[in-house]
Amino acid sequence: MKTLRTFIPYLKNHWIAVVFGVVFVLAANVLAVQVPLLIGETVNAIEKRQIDSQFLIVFLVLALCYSGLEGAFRFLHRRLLIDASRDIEYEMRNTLFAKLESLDPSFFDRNNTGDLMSRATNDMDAVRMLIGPAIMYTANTVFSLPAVLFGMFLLDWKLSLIAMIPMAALPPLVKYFGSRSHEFSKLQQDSYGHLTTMVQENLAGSRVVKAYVQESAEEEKFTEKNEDYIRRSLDVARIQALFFPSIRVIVALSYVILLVYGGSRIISGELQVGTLFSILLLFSGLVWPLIAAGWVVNIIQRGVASLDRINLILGAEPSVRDEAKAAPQVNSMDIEFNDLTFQFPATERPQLQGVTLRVPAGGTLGIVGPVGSGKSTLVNLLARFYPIPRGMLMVGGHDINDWPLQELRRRVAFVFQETFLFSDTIGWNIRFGAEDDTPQEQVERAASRAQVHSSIIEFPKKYDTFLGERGVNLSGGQKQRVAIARAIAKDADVLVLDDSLSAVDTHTEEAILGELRQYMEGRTTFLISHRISTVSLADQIIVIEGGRITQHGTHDELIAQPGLYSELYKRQLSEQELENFDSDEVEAGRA
Amino acid sequence: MNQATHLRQIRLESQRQEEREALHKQGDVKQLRRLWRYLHPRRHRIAQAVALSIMIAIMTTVPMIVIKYAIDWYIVPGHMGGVIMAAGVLLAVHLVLFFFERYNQYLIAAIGQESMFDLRREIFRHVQQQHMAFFDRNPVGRLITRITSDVNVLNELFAQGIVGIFQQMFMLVVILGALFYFNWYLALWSLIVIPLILLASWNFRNNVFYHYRLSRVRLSRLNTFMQENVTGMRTVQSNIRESRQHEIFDELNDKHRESHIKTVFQYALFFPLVEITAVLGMVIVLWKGGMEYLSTASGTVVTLGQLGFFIMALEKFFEPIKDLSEKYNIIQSAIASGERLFALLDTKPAIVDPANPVDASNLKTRIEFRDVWFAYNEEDWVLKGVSFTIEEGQTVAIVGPTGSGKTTLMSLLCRFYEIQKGAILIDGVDIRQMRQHDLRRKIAIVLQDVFLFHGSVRENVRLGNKQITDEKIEEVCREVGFDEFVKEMPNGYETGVKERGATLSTGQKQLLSFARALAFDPQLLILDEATANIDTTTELKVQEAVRKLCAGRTSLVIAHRLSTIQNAHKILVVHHGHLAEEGTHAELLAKDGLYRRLYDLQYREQAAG
Repeated sequence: MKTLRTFIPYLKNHWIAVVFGVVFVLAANVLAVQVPLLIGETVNAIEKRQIDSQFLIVFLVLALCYSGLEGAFRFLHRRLLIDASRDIEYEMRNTLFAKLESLDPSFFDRNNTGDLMSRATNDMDAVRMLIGPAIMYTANTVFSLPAVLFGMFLLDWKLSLIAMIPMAALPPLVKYFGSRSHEFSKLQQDSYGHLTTMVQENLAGSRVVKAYVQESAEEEKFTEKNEDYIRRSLDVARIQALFFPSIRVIVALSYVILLVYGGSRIISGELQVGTLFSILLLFSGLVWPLIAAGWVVNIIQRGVASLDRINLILGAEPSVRDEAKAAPQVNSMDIEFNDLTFQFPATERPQLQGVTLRVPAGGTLGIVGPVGSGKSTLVNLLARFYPIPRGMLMVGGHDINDWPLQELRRRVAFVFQETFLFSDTIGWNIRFGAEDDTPQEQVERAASRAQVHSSIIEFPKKYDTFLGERGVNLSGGQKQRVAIARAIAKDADVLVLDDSLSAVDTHTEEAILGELRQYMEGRTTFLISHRISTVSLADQIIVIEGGRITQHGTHDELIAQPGLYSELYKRQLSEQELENFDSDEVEAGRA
Repeated sequence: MNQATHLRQIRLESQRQEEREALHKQGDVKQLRRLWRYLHPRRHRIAQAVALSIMIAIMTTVPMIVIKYAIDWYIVPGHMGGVIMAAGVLLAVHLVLFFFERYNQYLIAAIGQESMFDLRREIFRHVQQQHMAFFDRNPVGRLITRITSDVNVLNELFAQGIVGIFQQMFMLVVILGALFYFNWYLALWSLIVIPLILLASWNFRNNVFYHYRLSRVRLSRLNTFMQENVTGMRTVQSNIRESRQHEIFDELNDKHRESHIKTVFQYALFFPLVEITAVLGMVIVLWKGGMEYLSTASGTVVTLGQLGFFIMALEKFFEPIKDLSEKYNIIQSAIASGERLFALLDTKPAIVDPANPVDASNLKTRIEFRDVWFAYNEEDWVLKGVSFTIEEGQTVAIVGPTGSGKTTLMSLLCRFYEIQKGAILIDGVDIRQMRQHDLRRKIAIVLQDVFLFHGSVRENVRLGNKQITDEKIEEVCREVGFDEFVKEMPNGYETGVKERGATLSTGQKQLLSFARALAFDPQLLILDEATANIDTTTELKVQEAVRKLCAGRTSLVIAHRLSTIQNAHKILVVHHGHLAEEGTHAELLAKDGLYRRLYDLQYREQAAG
């Protein structure tokens, strides 16, 4: 029940709605008993011929009024309680989203997107059910039982007591079927999972399947899973096929008692026919709340489990603490690494070791190194995505931990290795990091610099063109260029390009770099690339291997040294030569 | 206008557009008729289910009728024996009903599941027949949804929808019939409420459906936005965009809530309305019936039992109406799923076998590419007139820079794609004249990215081919030098290859895929050598294994290893979709052309090392 504490702040905001909702449930149930009572009395009066037509009309109008009033209360309580659950759902989603935004990248490295999304969707739904329908049906059962039973006992307590005996079996029966069918549903879900995995594997490996002529063998495997799924589904169906008929039999037993015992009491004159009608009507109103009672137990069990899963996100703490208050005084945006050693949480080996380096304001640093050597980690530290020990990284002459995150990140513009654009307009995406009042000209200038303006204005809606499923799909190179435009439009002091030209051709790359050279003047720039031609324009270049700086110097210095840099340089020179290999020569070679 | 406002307005307009599209998209019910094909084989049991449903509909009204007669014939005259007999009938009816309902519900579920089994198998088989370009175009996730969840939605329609609707309609008819049979005068009066209830249901159905669809669109938008932010959180945070993203999320979240709250309003209105209408019906019956009862001698026109019956029946009468209104959603989503499914089934496979295929099993493996032109996308040529021949038993290495068309050559030989111009011949026969299966049975292909299936080492070598014995598997693993690794695994050949703790290294995966190829003992081997770095000991094993694989059979290798190209009978140099050079290693080196440069670039280091 500790889990449920999460609700307290939300319920506090809506306590008026919940309290009134519950009170209206009570009112509706008290009124609900009145109509059967009135109808019974009317029938009794008719039978005894103790009524004239005017009285009859009064009785009936009264019944209609009760029913209308009951309906009004039911309308109100459903609105109050279910609306409150939707409001709380809304608030919880907002809290969840804000929480996610506050967590640092290592959280997202640990938890995959699919899992986070399933918590935000399926679990959120189960939790909403826990607040809205569960409260409503619980209140309904809690109030209707005493109200109806009171009405029945008032009319004929002996008959009612005996008729209720079979009904005692109902809640345990519902609960039993609930948990049994839950059990079988789980097996069914597992089987469904196996079927899905099998299909997924078959599709992902379609080349192998075709090459080894495995279509029929795969179909056999599929049929096996398909059959298993059907078997499990029918197990669930078998349980469910037993459920409602069983309830019906129990209810029927009560009806039999009402008929036999009620009939005998009428014959012996202890009961009137109309009163039996009232009891029959009241009794039929009892069946649903009793079924709901068992059902509510299942909703609550599921909801609590889901809430636990959501609490795992809500309870997560960002590992980077944003404690600095005021922005430090900065003269120039020098960046200095002092014997920096960095290790990701829960890993065995440090990712970076003994990195010492100074990039003066306005300077350019080129970074080269094999995949996984720590290049991206190094530049990611500039946004303080991970906790960094004091004294190891100085930005603008201040320890990076003394910067408020907002201030720090405002001054650094990133183009990440994996380009990420949102499904919104191109213009919106380019403005992503810029101030809201950035003029359109600045956006277009940024796009021109990134060599993407001419592609954009070819779209009918130009900068208002939507990206993604409902709009256009850009090529990999175009996406990278939009991301570069986004970084340029942010107009920050520090620019980080993390292998961000990999998907554009060499010709465009040269054009972009030419434009950037001008833009980079006065800005501190970090350039990661696999292409020597890209980094060669930097003031200083480092080579990182296995988390350490193995070479450091200018392009000319480095090509003169033996090492990774000169190797890469030579290799890329001959590759370029190959690329430019004359096609005429090829033709000649063929002949 | 402020730029931020402008952008917001464009976004809102696009959202409205999306909602309009979703709301106006009316499903075509005709699609569902095609479902009958899958139900047809089970038509006898369907007839049985329908017959049972009718009986159940009749029998559910019987208890009310029994109570009516018990009151009129036995209770009012004071005949206890009759009351007990009536109670006996009541109990008996319910017991029979218990078995009928249980049997029928299971029967319907079984028919539905079995039909969906057939449908699912047909879709799976259909997808298997598609050529590679189809898989390039359709994301795996989308195809999975078709085969799994779309089929389930259709099943729901059958299991909960069609038969249930039929039963409820029939119940309405039976109750109406009974009302008129017992007292047509009261029946007519109580029917006054029917237009009222129809109007309320119609209004409810339209509104709820409208808001339901709206809420689906909005929910998916909300989730997409959240997913994008989770995926791009670095971009959000590095641009200090958190609060502005939150504003957008809040707006989407609020709209989602709004559409749900409108749905709640409809439910909150409709349910009580049905109840009130039922009470109104009872009130009218009691008024008209009561007046009749009072104005005549008791039992002449209206009896007490009839009043009781009318009161109970009117309560029952409204249940199916409530249910039917809610089933509308199921039908709508089934139509959408059906449309998607049948559209997939209507996609014809682009590569089909010839009507009179040449028997390929006895063909030798002399391969000829004759002026082959190929493009994945129209006119965007990847191969531009490639011609070469490979003699039976030769090992031929293909070299060339990245993107020159090497892998495409191999895919075309397997007929994964259809060439646009020219011909590919095996032993003088065009591969288009063979059955695809016969062609591929002659070939084993080893790809760079080794694909492993869920299952043991043994199953991954054998795949689905039951003719490959356990002994054969162990033999080929020994031959390629993979058995040493297998012996060290916790369960030997039974070790699951995709499970935790038994992840194979790149080199080991290569060896496994070699063993797989060897086990199938193909006439023709196609091998895409891995470029990835492999540790030295495994590397030696891989080189040795490649030699063994190629020995004695026609082999086509995209070579990255010096040892392979040196041992090749012939080297084909591919460049920009052309065959640039052709000859032996020594010949080509002497020529000082493209090969020489490639060799300098890629293989000289290996030669030195």
